[in-house]
Amino acid sequence: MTDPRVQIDEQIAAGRYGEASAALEALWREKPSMLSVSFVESRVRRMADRVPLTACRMFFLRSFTVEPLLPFFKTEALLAGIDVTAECGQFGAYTQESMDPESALYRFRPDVVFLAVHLRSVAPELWEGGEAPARDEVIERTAGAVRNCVEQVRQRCGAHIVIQNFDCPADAPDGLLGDQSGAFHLVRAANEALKAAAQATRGCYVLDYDRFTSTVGRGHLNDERKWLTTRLPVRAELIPALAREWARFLRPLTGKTCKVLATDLDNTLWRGVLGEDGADRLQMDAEYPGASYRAVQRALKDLVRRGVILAVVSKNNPDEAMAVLNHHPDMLLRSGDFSALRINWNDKPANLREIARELNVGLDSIAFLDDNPAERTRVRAELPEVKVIEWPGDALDAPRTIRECGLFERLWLSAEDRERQTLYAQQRERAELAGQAGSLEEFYFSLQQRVTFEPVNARTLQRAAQLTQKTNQFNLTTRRCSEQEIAALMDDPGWMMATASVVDRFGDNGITGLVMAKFEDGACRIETFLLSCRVIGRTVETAMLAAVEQICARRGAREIRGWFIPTPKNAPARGMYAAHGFECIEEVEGRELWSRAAANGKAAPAWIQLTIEEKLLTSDQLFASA
Amino acid sequence: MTSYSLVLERVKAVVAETFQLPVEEVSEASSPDSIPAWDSLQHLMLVVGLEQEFAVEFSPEEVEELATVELIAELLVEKQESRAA
Repeated sequence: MTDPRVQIDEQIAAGRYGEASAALEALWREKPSMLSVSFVESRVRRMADRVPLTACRMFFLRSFTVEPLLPFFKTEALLAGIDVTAECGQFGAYTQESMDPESALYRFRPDVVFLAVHLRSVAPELWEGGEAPARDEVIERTAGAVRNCVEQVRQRCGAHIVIQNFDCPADAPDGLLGDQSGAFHLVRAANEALKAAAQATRGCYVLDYDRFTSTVGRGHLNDERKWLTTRLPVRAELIPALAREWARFLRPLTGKTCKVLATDLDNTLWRGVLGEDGADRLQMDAEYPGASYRAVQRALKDLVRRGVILAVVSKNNPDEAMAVLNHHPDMLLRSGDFSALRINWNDKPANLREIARELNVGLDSIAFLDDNPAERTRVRAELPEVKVIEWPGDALDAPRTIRECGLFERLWLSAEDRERQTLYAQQRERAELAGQAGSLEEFYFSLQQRVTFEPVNARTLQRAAQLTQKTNQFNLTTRRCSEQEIAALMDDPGWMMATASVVDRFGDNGITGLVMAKFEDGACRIETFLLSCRVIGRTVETAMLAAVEQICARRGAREIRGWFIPTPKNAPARGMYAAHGFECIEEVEGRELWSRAAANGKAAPAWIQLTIEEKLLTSDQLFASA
Repeated sequence: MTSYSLVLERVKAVVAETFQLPVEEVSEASSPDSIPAWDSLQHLMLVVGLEQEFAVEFSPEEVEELATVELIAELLVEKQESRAA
């Protein structure tokens, strides 16, 4: 057998990045080892020209040794397309570091602050046994220390904060007697307090370390010798597992999650091949072996609740397959659960491209599930952006594979996430009724528009001011600004001042859009949103809102708000917020305030190539009001 | 190859990875004296890397004895043999 490393290098050399990425992931999953760290890193970087990496700066405030975890953590991150730069604070100095505005923590300008405090550092008697302190005292000492630190960090910077909670000890000091009163009720009370602190703080999330240690096995995880000699709380063997658990947060924190799962049908959602076995002999009932496939369906239904959109890509006779989706008594999923259906004999990459277009998402937001290795290879070869889930050897393992692949992690749910599937279903029906969505789409595609979203700078300042003064039609608030006014806001880190330039197949339209927005209280307040009449009616505004949304994700804003102020001339802008999923939350003398959750919103239309200048994404002034 | 030389090659690879050195620059005599980056934190990284790679655990006393690549390889062979016995 060929050395997998040699094979991976050949695939990269041949430009077969999709296959190389899958092989790298398989190599790492088989044995995450120090000996693979450099190999994986260098190969992922080599492919970054086509599969770009997202940078993430991460600072660890900690009470224990985390360094041996970092090579594994960074490798997990790279496999998810995220390039982590990490720095660690001093042992046990998390309180001071969080309070000192000049500390290494703030100088580092982190995107994510990870707070790793071990129970043994703050309340050793809960771990080692001894006189149990009073409940209030424990909560104050444990959760209080962490909460204080979280508050300090939130006041001083807008980074995401992840708190690792406390794990229950491996040994119960009071034996069975302790069980009668709930052996670790104090630890659990401290964790409840941590959860409350996280929920009360914008951009703060809990990593449930207690769940992790119980899943792995506390007795197995704990290495007393390592703790006593090096303050490392886990056995060397389990370092890769913990690093992976930490890394699960990176996709949702950097916005690299999948929005769509496109699934095959035969031998994926049911056992059997519809075209050969017939509907009556398909198995997806509650008994083995059908139960494995039923569990896959259940896992997919769970994803829908998280706001993931389902789609079918299957080589089948459409009438037969629809009959199963609609009427088979053992199906948990129904056709209404799917927002796009491609049941035909076309090749799957072509179908996936169509799905991306229909659902308005990028190919890199699509995950693909198929039991057939040939189809997976084909998709990897043609569409390296699509995330192909590796189907396990035994279908019984498939639900866990889907849950643990990390592609669909969410840290919060917006109302829209819950409603998304309905929205798409309605959209599909409308498009089918109108019967002309295709031709309009074709028109949009034919324009080959490229939109560049960049901060207002000295060169574009004059044009920006001019746009506010001259634009009447597609102008949501018709606020007129002078150059000086814009110049003052340009340097204010609480503001996002961005222009949109549009290039299409007919030429360069120059700077034709402007957004001025203030980041405040976790919200992005759009003060000015306008589009020159040159580019009205070409969905440029959708791309601009998508850019705003991506910037919100990076800046930690969860809501987008904006006024519509009617004038005799700006009717073309009137429907914009409603058309993009906003809700009118206030109306004062004809002026309307619109709002929408910023999480996981619409992507840029598939027919527009959107570029956001990195500076807009990397500002560390996340909650400038603080 | 003897089991010692097999183990030695893997130890060199772990040492090279830990200290970010080309593997050719690691020899049996490599030690904290010859590798400047080999401080106490990096020693822990190395120990954890070895424990992982060889699926063994070192006692705190053994950790202190792992002062050269040769000593590391010898101790690992010893541990493997006692496990096989």
